[in-house]
Amino acid sequence: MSIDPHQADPAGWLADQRRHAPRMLKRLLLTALADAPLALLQAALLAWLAANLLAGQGRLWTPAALLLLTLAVRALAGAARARFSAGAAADISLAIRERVAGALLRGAGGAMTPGEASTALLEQAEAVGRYHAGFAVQRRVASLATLLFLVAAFAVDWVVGLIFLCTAPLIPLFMMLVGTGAQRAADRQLESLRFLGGYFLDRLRGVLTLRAFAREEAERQAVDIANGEYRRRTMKVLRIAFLTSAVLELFAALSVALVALYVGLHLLNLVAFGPGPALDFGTGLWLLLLAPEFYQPLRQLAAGYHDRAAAQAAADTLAPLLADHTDTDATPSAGPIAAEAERHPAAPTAPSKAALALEGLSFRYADGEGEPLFESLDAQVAAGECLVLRGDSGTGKSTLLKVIAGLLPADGGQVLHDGRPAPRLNQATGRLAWAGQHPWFLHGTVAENLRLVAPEADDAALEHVLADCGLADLPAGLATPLDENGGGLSGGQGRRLALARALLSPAPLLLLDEPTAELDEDLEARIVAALAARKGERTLVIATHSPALAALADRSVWLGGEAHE
Amino acid sequence: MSDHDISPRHWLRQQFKGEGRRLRNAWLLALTTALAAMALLGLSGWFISAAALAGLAAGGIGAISFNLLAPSAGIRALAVGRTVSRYFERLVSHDATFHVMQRLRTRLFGAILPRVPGPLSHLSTGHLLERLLGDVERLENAWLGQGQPTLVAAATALVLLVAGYALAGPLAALALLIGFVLMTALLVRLARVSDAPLRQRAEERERLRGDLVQALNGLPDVLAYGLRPTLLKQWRERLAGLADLEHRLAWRQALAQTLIQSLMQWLAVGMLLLLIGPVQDGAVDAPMALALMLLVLAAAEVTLPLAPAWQGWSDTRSTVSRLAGLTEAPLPRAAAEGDRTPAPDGLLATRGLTFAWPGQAPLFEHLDLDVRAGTPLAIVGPSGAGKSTLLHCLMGLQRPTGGEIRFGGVAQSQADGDAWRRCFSLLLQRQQLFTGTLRDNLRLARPDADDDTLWRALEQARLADLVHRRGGLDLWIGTEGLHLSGGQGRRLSLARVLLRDSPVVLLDEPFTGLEPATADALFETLQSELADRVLIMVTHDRRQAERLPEKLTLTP
Repeated sequence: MSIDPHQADPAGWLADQRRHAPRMLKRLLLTALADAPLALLQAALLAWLAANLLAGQGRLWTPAALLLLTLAVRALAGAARARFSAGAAADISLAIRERVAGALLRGAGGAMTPGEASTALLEQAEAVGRYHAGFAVQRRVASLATLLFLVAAFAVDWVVGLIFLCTAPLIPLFMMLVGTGAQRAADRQLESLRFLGGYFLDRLRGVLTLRAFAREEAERQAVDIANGEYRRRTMKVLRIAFLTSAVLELFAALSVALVALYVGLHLLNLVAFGPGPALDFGTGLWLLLLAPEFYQPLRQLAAGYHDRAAAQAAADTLAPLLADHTDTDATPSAGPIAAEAERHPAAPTAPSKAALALEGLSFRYADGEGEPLFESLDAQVAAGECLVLRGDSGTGKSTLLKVIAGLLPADGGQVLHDGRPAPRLNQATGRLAWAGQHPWFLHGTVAENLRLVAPEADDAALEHVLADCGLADLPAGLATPLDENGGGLSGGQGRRLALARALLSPAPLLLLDEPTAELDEDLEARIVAALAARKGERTLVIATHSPALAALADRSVWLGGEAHE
Repeated sequence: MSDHDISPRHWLRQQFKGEGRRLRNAWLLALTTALAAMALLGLSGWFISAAALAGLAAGGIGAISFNLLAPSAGIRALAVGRTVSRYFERLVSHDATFHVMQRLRTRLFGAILPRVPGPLSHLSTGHLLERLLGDVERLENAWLGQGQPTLVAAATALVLLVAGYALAGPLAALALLIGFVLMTALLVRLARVSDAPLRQRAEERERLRGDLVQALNGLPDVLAYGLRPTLLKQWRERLAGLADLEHRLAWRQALAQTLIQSLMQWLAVGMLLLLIGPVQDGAVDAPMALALMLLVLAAAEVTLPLAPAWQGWSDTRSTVSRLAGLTEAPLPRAAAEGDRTPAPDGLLATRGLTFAWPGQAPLFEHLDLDVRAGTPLAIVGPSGAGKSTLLHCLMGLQRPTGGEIRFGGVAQSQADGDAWRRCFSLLLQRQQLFTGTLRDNLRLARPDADDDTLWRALEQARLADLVHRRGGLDLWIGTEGLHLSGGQGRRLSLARVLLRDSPVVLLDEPFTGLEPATADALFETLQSELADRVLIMVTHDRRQAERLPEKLTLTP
């Protein structure tokens, strides 16, 4: 699979996601920037009020009213900021989720497990949104706010300014120093979480095995050990994080203490440097109130550090997934054929005869370990013939079927439909029909679902094909309601309805995955007969263990070596 | 389900009880941190204003008489103390919480084991995994994000009330009290109105997760028949609905947060305004009034986590009810409850054996079987007839509803559970391989086996060559790490059964998914290696059943 390196660069992709919520992010930045000047004003008014109180002269109610007004405005700005932040995160997540859903439903995540796919759609898209609404904005706000506070402090008293200036750069420096160590520990913790997830999954799937071997107590202890390991690694990560924020807080606290001492000594006339008599009580208090505010943006930035790591991890998964999706849309070799197929869909009344050829086909699991599932596979099927794929379960029959359909890319060799390379299946070509183990239906009736593939078929034709598949006795016949997952029918009935749909469709090439699995012999015989009747006009590819069905084969492909031993 | 009767608070308290001492320490440390931060700002304000007064009084020359050392030492101590106590608070609270979570995970796993199959069978593996990982992780927040901040805020409020009363009189205390009551009412209201949308969001996310799996499984249909645009349109609408919900929740939380923060700030300024009179009368020291205002202002940091904490209570409650559903599900009664040890005599017998799932018609009734070593029995019948359940009953994994099972001169109900199970081994339809080495997987069947024994079992199962080729017993395998074919996988399971060397062997559909030629080869291995055991084989393959001397047909 060729992926354009620029498309798949996770860091570039991550930065680019900002474009999904430009207005929200602009508003967010503005409200966030308003905080620092408001903090300056608030401190000034507070200091003014206190100075008047202390001096026992001057107005008190004016500064008090102004202070309350400023507090209200600052609180409102804070609310707007929280609102815009959540909004920007939701908008960015939504845009990414739409694209991820689009890519997944195009078959781009072929190598992902369903669990990974749903994590990508929900949690990872969310992580990217949160990063842009949080850390990314805070980074810009923190630098500007820090600058503003520094200017304000220096304008009033260079000693306090110097205290701020000396402690501020230490914070990013320290963050960088611990950052690499923290990243390594976080990676190890993530690895431990994956291990724990795999471990639980494994054990839950094999509960019966564990009980059969009387291993409950031993496994409970083993699970506790794996659990404890995860706890220890999590604590290690957090210890680093806590130490980082402790140092940040120490800086903040020490600078408050330093400023208080300096101002206090100054007011007692005990220090001889600094701006001298210009530093009165009001100004001193103002500086003191500024000290905690000065460190606040930097502390918030440090608190959002792990959001950044989560977003980067998400980008590593999402960027290639979405890049793959743009890639499959414009595969040079498949493009013209797919487009042509779209312009001239096979005429529903007279299906053209399809022929299929597999040339030196190989497939290997994505992890690249172990032996290939199949290698240098060759087969030729003339139009109207039946190809049966055989082999023990686990030898790759379903995978081969997906490769033939164009759902999975082969590692080597090619699949030819009518002598031309098969296009990657990402839109209807009208050329192939599919009936698998987990069918998907439209929310609607059985008839609506069947007419989807044959709009002009009358009720008699639908009932005929249902009877062929042993579905003549559905609760409400053609009007039986269905939901997306085949609800309304049992699992076996749903699979047979998928088969009926495939038989009804005018597509010349039928790909069927175990159409007679778990059926009794009468039903199996009926379906074998229905398929036999279609030989000659349709090309069939069937994956099966059933000897009765295998008897239809004009050609067979054996997967896995054991049958030949 | 009984999970509705369990109070979430009570359930949580039970889980956290074991760490009670450390959690209390964490809470005290958190309170120390909060009070130190408040005192730092208050003392600093007092110091400056008192110094200013002293400086004014001294009129331009150094005010030597002012006690400088005590407050400045206090400021330094508070600054360092706050940071140190915060650091240790976080360490202690997180460590204690994670200990609770570790125990909870192990406990939940232990609760799941005996209930599957059984009362928890309706949950898929994916659901159970989500309970063990996702739900337990969400519960960390119950203390770290909810319990502790609320307790710290309550204690801080108490301290402020006392300080307000002592420093500024009953009027100030009353104002503070009204402020705190308002704040609590606001939080309760926020928790209440957020409950429905939060629940809706959680449900919608779960539905999306489930539907995505379905859609991905049915992807070939969707693509082949051009259903993608329809499907995508549905998904767009649902995703947009989810985003709308997030926007609505964001508004609410932002509003509540602002109201609470402004309330604290108003209280702070209000304190000062209340004290204007007393200060001018000389009843209250001006620096003291200032200190009190700064104290209240600094307390805003304590109220900051309250809005998210209370809003999240709905999530915590539903998480608790999901987890309590696991531990409170009725435990199936054990099949073997006695203390006797069977002495293998080559005869497994049942008399009047009956089994029914609760509230359903019996799967099988009054079964009388005598299975002798060397005379294997085939059990046939359509799916759903209870073939697997019968094997589980024989082995003691499932308690029969009626009748008796005897082996080695002991009735199952009077046997010791472990001793009974030691006499049996079960080959499942899909025997599970676990993450670990090949050796670990084999030793499941017999923990004390040495390598020679393992190799002998592999040879008997005719798998030794393959294992030699792939790297021996130390080969690391996982669920998908070892891409064995169906026949090879079944042989590995067989090796485990042989390794166990038990007098009774139960085989559940050993040939599913195998080509007839593979099945025949495996059948021969089974017959030759297990000739002297009590052997029962469930199969739906008539050909294989015909080859065994005895046959039992179950009908649904």
